[in-house]
Amino acid sequence: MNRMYKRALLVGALALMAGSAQAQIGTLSNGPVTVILNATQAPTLTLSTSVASVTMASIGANVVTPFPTFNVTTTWNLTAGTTIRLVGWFNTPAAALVSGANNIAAARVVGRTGAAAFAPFTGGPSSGLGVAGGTQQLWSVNATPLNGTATTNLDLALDYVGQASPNAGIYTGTLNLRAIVQ
Amino acid sequence: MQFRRSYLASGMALGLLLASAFGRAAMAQTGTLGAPVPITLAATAADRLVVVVLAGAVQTIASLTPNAINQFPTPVQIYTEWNLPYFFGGTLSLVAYFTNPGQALTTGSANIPSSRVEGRTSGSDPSLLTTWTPFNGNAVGGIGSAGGTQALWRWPGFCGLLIFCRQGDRTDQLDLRLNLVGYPTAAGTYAGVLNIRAVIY
Repeated sequence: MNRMYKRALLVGALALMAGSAQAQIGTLSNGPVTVILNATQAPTLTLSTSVASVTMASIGANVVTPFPTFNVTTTWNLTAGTTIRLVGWFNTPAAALVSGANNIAAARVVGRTGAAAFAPFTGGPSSGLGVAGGTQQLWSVNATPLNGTATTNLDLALDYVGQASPNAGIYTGTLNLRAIVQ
Repeated sequence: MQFRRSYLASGMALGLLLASAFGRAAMAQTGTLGAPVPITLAATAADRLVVVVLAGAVQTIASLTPNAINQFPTPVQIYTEWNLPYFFGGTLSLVAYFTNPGQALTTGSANIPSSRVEGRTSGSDPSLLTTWTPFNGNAVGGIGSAGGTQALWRWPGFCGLLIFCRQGDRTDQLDLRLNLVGYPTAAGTYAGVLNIRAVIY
């Protein structure tokens, strides 16, 4: 009888201790420590064209001879800005296209986007881009929302209306395209 | 005769008693000034559960690559120490979570959700995030947020009955990355806070 009583007491005490401890630790946790995470997504503004080069087989006299139409895609992810402008220019307006000693001036190269009228590359720098007498703002789009993409067609041509065709030769040149956000 | 013997014995006993009393008084006068005063000593080892970020408390990616996995360059080193009652009887776990899973990192109105933040641990067993895992789990032991939590490691409950794991410490390494594959992010500097807590449940 005495042994049973002691055993019951021991079991009871153990159960009491375990229960008490369990109740105390049910809420045991430390205060949070923290890890600060920083990550920067830099603003981007990129251009891509559907072709790397365009070619016309023959420059017509007294006509506007078009190059094949191609697309320009502008993609942006910005933190600020209201308008994105597409600007095109030739570095040397007097010699936009060159064939040996012969040149085609930027004034003979016309361009347009969408259904706009053709205009020559004879302007001054636009939004800080381009060179005097060899530049044209081709297109603009609202920068809101601040990330997006837009594609427009770009038509280029050589305007020899009222002019004889240039000296025979294969003329090559580079039109620079660049987008800017303002 | 018997009376005499008894009287004699009583006298001897009285003599011994008096001798003893005088002897004790003499000792007290020479070496002891008072009765000893007991001083009770008590020291409590409080329940202890500590988490410290040893390194990597600030993680920075200078330039995110869109549509790609961007790993934070340095791992987070986390030290955990515990000293628990014998009968803690539950599970000890280290939990990491974002308070607002939909906005783990934010910049202005743009967010990176916690499901795009992934973690991987290496350290003493048992580790739970041995492979890259998004922080998209639910709270663990009442700690964390729904859909923004992961347990980094867990001591199983049975261990609580053994004295061997009642106290201990461990250091873990947590690698973090942003999985932006298929998730366009607006330009800006994103900032967020990953909370880390140890819990017994």
